[in-house]
This record gives sequence, C-alpha cells and structure tokens, in this order.
Amino acid sequence: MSFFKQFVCEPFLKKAMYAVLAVMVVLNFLILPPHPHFGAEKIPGFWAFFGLGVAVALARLAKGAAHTFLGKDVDFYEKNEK
Amino acid sequence: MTAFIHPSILFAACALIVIFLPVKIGRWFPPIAAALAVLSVLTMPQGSHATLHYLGMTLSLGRVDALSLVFAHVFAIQAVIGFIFAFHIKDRAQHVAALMYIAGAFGSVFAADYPTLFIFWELMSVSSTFLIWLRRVPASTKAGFRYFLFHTLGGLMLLAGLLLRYKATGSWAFDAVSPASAQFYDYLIMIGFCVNAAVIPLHAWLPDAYPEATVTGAVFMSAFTTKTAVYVLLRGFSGFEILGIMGTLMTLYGVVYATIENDARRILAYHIVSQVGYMVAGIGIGTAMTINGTCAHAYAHILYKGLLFMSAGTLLYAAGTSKLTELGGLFQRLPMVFFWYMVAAVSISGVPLFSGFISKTITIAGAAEAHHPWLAIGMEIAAVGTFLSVGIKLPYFAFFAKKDPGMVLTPIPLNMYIAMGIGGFLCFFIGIYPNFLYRLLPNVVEYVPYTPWHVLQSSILLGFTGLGFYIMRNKLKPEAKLNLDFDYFYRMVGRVVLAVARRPVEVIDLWWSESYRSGGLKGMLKIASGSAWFDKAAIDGVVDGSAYTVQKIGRIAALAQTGRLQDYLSAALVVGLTVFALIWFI
Repeated sequence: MSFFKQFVCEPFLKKAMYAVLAVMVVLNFLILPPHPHFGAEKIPGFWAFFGLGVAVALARLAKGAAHTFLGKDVDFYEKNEK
Repeated sequence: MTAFIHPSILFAACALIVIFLPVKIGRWFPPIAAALAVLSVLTMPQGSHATLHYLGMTLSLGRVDALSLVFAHVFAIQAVIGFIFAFHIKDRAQHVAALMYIAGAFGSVFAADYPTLFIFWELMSVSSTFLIWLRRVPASTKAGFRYFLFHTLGGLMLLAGLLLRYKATGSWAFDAVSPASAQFYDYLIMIGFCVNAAVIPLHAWLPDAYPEATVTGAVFMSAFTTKTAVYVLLRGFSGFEILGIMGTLMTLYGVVYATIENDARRILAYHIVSQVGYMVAGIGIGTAMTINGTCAHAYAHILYKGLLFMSAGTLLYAAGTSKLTELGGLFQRLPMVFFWYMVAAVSISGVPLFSGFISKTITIAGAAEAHHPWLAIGMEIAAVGTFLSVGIKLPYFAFFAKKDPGMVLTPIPLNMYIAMGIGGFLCFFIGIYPNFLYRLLPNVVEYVPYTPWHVLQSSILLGFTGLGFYIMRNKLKPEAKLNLDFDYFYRMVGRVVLAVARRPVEVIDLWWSESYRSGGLKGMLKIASGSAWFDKAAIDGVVDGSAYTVQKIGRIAALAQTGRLQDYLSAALVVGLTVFALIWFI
C-alpha cells in the first residue's frame, strides 16, 4: 500500500515513464524473437534485465576504476613535466 | 557519358583559391567545392580511372567500385556540412588545412595501389595536425605534436609493410589479403591502418587530440581519419578474426571511459573508439552481412558523430568550455543546440526512427548469425553504455542537472545552426528511409530493421538503460579529473628521451664545458700570449725591418738628387757607358 501511495505522489512524467517501461515488458510476453541469437533472449524481460543490469554495473565499475587507479588530478601530466 | 573527376582535385584547387583570395570571399569556395564533390561522386562511373606511370610504377588514383563509393558518398556530404559549419571562420589557414585533409581522405579512398595510398594517407596526417595546432592554445600545440608523432609512427609501419611487400611480391597493388596467407609485412600494413582506426591499445591519440582541436577541426576529424582507416581495413583485411575481437573490445573500452570522462568532446572522442569498434568487429567477422553492417554504420556514424561534434563544439564556442563540471542548466538559453544534440544522441544510441538503429543492428545481428554470440553480447553491452553516456549523461549534465551558471554566451552564427540542421535531418531521414543507405551497400541486404521484435528489443534495452541512469545519477556525476589511458605510455617515451638528454647527454656536456673552462681556456690564453709574442718579435720585426730599409734607400736616393745639371749628365753618361760596355763585351 505504501508503495502505491508513493507512486501516486510522484510527478506525472515519472509515472508515465514507469508505465511505458511496464507496457514494454508486457509486450515482450507477446512479441518474442523469431530467430533468437541465444537462448536467454527467449525469456520475456531478458533485455530489460540486461539493460538495467549493464547500466548499473557499468556505472559502478567505471566509476570504481576512476576512483581507484584511473583518476588523477587535471594537471597530472603538467606536474610531471617539471 | 560522364567523366571521372577526382574529388581531391576539387578540394586541392579550392585550397589554392582560398590561399590567394581575401578570406571574406575565399570562405565561400569550400562549401562549393564540397557540393561539386557530391556531384562528382554521384556521377562518376565505376571502374579504374586516372592511371599514371611514374618512376617505373603504375599508379592508379581512381578505383571506383561499390565499396569506395559508399565512403566517398558520405565523405562528400559531410564535407558540405562541415564547411557550412566552418563558414564563419576568418582564419584562412583552417580552411586550407581542412580542404587538404579532405583531399587526402578522398585520395586514400580511391587509391588502388600502396604508394598512392601512402601519399594521401600522409597528407591527411599532416593537414589534420594543423586542425589541432590552429586552435592556437598551448594544450593544443602539445597535443598536436603527440598526435603527429604517433601518426608518423603508424605511417612508418605502413611504409615498411608496403616496401617489404613489394620486395616479396613485386606488386604495389592494394588488394584484399587472405587471412590464411598473410605475411609479416601484411601485418605491418594492418597495424599502420589500425593506428588510424584507433584500435586499442593504439587508440590513445584520438581522445588525447580531438578535444584539443579547433571547434570546426574536430567536426572534420571525427568524420575522416578513422573512417578512412575503416575503409582500408575493409578493403584489405576483412575476415581477420583478431579484428573481430579487438573491435568488440573497442566498443566496450570506449564506453567505459566515456562513462567517467568530464570533457564533452572527450566523451564523444571515446565514443568514436567505441563506434569504430562496431565497424572493426564487422570487418573481422567478415561475412557479407557484417561487411554491409560496417559500411552502413560508417555512413550513419559519420553523420551523427559530425552532428555530435558540431553541437558539443557549439557549446564550447558559446560557453567557452566543454567541461560538464562547468556547464549545466543551459537548456533555456541554448534550446536548439540541445535539440540537435539529442537528434545525434538518439541516432548513435540506436533509437528506432534514427540512423544508428538501422545500421548498428546489422553488425550485431550479423555477429550472432555468424556464430559469434559473445561478440554480439559485447556489442549490446556497448550499446547500453552508449545510451548511458552520450544519450543521457552528457546532455543531462550539460543542459540540466543544475541552475544556469550565468556565464556570458558568445552568439552562435547562423551557419552553425544550418549545418546542424542538415546533419540532423539526414540522421532522421536515413532512420525512416533506410533504403537510401541500403542500396549503396556493397552486398545484397537481407536485413529488415523495422520488425516488431527489433523495435521492441531496442526500446526495452534503451528504456531500462534510462532507468539504470536514473538510479545511478548521483554516482555518475562528472568530476574534474584526468583519466589515465594508453597515452601515459607514449608520453613516457617522450619523458625517457628527455631523461636520456638530461642524464648522459647533459652530464657529458656539463663536464666538457667545465673542463674546457678550467683547462682549455687557460691553454688558449697561453697560446694567445705566445702568438702575441711571436707577432711582436717576428712579424713586427720583418715588417718594421723592411720599412726601415725602404726609408734608408729613400734617404740615399735623396742624396743623389743634387739639383745640378752636370751631376745628372755625368751620372747618365756613366749609366750609358756601362750599358754600352755590357752589350759590347757580352
């Protein structure tokens, strides 16, 4: 119930976006790949899971790399030149 | 009957005109030359043209076939768009550099032999360096040098490969190499091409240099260098499996960096690496379908990437910065820039109705159908990353995210908007009318992009990527940081050279200067005083002595001048008699 209440309070655009995502997943149950490239593609909602999972994982991994070993100060190379 | 007019001639001639005319008039010519190039490409007959015999070689400058025509077609269109975008530029040198650069690109596409290819290849390399330098700020000067040195390295690989190849085969012809019979020299040539195609780990010049180029220079460079390399790889090395793997790695590598970069143009530069990855992968897989996919994607990519660089460049032009940390909230003041940026962003992301959708999916489907499911999965992951970073992150943090920073914006010239409008229209047009592009492709197209499944699959994938961004939006906030890449290593090479110059060379030089100062200088002083003594005693003695002698003789001669006539007569008589006696007796 609280989830529903929270949903009602969200701005319209946000609700519309969620609705579109939900409708697409529902459609996925009706429209399945005629020639799946790999087995998992036949599972409805696979690409939804894939898109969300990859986006979150990529953000975490890339930012993690930037915060540990890739990210340096902007003048990193200039400092070393002197 | 139509004749073959090499587009490079049009651009080179135009460069000459621009050099000699006042820039106010001269700047009208590049868009005209580009429009003529479009006409020339549309009317040129297929076949082998412009064959020259030079220094015992047969050079063929005009190989026109389905493959070269696809690239020439889009090169010419993008040249028109690029020169309209650059119309307001008052710096004559920038127009000339861009014209010669495009002349190089066309020359490379139509070259049927390695020497011709090499010359045009290097023309591109040199003139594109000027597109970086002509921004005339210290960062671009340095980046330009790194860019040029790295491309020279790639060019030398190509040169070494083609010379060794000639020695082994006796042929200069630039034709397809079979992966089974590829030799060492073929791989050298391939590595030379891979430098320009920004294949990792040879890619770092691209995100290093493009963001430092001029606003308009980056638009040209985003279209021609990597895509010429894609063309030559396609021509020479299709079916090399290593390219399939490297291409897929490129698609992933580019999006990881794009996710963490701060500079809008650097994000786009990493996306060139990523998008060219799709093309390189298609070349590596090498089926008729993936080759079509590569050509189609190169075509679509040139247009949307040009539009991305135009809109990001316009941001830089107007706001004076392209760093996301310094931008934000500009939607109200630059709505049309946002609009055209988004057209390009949805195109690159593969949103249905836009060009990326009808091109990218061919390669992915082709990879899966050629039984490379892992490559297809890798490319799907990259598609998510593309929409995440270019489709949502960049515009969100540049145009929304925070309040308008209130910076003074430089007014944007109309020609920039016109160029973006043409680019944007084409991105949409190709998206809704894919046959415009498909009928140019070298192989028969059996791919239908607009099936319910394809549209739904792309929509779900991108929709949920958006949800992923929404969840991670705080984590994805851009930071003013520099991210290490492979340029670290070639900057290291520079530093090693500097260290060698500092340590042994400078030390020896110092030691030599010191020993000269303490020992050598004293020796020199001694020698100098010795020669001064010799000068005084010997040289002066001789010179002074002869002067004294002359003086004495003069004095004696003066004594003989008595002024009395009888003395002169007797003297004359003595001389006369002496002469007579000498003649008589001898």
